[in-house]
Amino acid sequence: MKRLLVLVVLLTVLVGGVQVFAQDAVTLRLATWQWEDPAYLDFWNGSVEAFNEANPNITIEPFAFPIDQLWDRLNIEIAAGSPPDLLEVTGFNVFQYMDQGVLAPLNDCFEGTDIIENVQAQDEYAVDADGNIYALNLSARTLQLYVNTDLFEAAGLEVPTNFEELRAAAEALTIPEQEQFGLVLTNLAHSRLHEGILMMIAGYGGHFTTDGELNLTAPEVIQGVQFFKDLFDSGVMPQGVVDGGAQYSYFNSGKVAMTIDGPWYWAVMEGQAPDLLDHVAVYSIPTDSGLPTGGVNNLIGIAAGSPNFDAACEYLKFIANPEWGQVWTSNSRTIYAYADSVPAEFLSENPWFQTFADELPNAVPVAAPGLEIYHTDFVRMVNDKVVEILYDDLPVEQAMQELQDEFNEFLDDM
Amino acid sequence: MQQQATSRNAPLSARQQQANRRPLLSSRLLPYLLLAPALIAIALVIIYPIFYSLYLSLTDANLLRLSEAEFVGVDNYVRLLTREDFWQSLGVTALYTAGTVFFGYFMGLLTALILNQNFRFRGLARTLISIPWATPWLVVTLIWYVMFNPQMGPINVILQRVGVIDVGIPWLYQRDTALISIVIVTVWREFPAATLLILAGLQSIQPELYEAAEVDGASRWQRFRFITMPSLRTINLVVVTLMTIWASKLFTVAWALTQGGPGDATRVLSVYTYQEAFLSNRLGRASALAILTFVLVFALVVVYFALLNREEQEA
Repeated sequence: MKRLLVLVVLLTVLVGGVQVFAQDAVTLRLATWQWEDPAYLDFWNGSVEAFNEANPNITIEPFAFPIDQLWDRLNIEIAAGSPPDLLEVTGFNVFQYMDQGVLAPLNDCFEGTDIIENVQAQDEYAVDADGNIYALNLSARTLQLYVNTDLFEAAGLEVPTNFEELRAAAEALTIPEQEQFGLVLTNLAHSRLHEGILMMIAGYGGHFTTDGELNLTAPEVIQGVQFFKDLFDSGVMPQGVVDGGAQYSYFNSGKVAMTIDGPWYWAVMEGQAPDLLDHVAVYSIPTDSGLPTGGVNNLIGIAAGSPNFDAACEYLKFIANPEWGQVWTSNSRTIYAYADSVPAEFLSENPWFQTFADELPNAVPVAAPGLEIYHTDFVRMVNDKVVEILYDDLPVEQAMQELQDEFNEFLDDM
Repeated sequence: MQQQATSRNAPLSARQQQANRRPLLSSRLLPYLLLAPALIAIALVIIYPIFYSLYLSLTDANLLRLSEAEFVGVDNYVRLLTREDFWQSLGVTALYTAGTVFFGYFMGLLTALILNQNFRFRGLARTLISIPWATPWLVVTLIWYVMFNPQMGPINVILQRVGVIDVGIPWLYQRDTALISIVIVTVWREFPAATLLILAGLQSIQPELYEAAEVDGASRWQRFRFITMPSLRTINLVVVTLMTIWASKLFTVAWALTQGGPGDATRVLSVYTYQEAFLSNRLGRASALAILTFVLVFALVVVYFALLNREEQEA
């Protein structure tokens, strides 16, 4: 009897101890499409490993899918009430997630830290009218002009600096007999098409909205869309370019003189067309205003209702520093949002990056101001209409008026 | 022996009485017990989701805020039925279905008639004709995506070389050609199914009928019109109805090739439903669309069975 009692006491202590240990141990799920992307491997794997070592009671597990699958998977998990604790989101869908209550406010998390002072646009982006901050800005970017210097030198042309020069250079460098194009841009329904159109509109100093209201018949919008259409009709760009991958393929072939893309494309070229690198240079985007599109493009938040908010918050604070920022910037070729995240030696080895770094403060936001929470639907509607303009020759002014009416109907229907 | 005689005449023990009762396995419950696992699976995988969709269709459910869904009655249905884009999508679906069934059946009939003849390598031809049907849909769309490429696609290259066109046609990106393009892809993939079914029907026709008709002086066309086609009536009905059902709910080809575009030129009901559910997160409205599509397909199935029953009675 006595032995039995001792055994029961020992077992109780053991089980209770295990339970206590289990209660302290936390497992976080971190959702990002970049888990297996070589450009981001060092950052995510490295920071998670270092964080786990520094916090033995917290384990971070990947919730990894390619980006074209991630949002569906994520939405299903959210619908099921079991979202990953940490969610990396884009600068476009963060607003929808904010509006739908998917993300938790981080003001308490950032209190007592230097995050708001040192992270670019931290108190502006992903912030609601009440000042609640919903995500940590991870990175920002712009799109600039990539130039095949060999083709320009062979034609004896200068790199363009405005719309007129861009059109002239693209036409001069398009040689159908040699299957050479002056410019390659995405021209099918894809987020890149939307941004390509916005690039031209911003080049005339405009945006899709004016003072937060949709204004698709504004002169800058009509001019911008018409410029893109004129480029397309003049045959300077290949048709049927469906996405970034297709854009890369054309420019990587060495038979396209110009493209407009983000800093990550340099890393893509290193992997896919290393021989081309010595013949490529980066210049400021050649529009009349010179304003690039971009801004904050990646963020990370904590799922609303996550039972592990405190642990997740510790991870956010862990990565918000220039040391991890330099790992991110050096490997991904995008600019980590925390100050001093562009190492000097990286810049000296990669002078092409200077343009991206210098132009970032001038970036025009991709999500139309005032319509951020409808960004996904708006991009789809713009793309559909622009494809009709490009391939069915729908007149630009008519198309923009139709789009304005359709979007207003969409808003009424919400 | 004496012990056995004794045991036969003795009253049965409780154990012996139990052994003599009909075992469970041979009872009338047996068929239902054997069917139960399949019925449970069907109930879980098909019946429950249909009823859950019906429930969602009566709410304003948002995919990201499912717990906050509120009952709105038939509001989603009213909104859909009064929206131009629903009727546009329904019209696109009808056109796509009609085109796929017409050309798919025609191709199937033609190839079945050819394969029903005796010629060298007929067996090989019958095997090769099945290749499109055996190819997964995703592979099919990738192949045709390259085929339709405006710059480098073989279709445009051939048409330019023979002088039919001067510049490549953006098949998938123009309103005029996008729907035709996905009909072509669907027909290419599905006509072998029609071929195989019609071929089976052709081979069941008694050759004596053709011999007798030939003796009576019937021409080839008359033999086809008065013997072949009447004999294939039931098979034709099966083929046309099945192809209609398949086409009316097909998603892969429209989404993979055009994503419903350009504009809404190829936005069939399945694509419209996907966009509402997973791009716009409007789960309530998407469920209403799904229910409407289900009713449409179900109506087609009812028509099919009614016509089939009439055929069987006439036979």
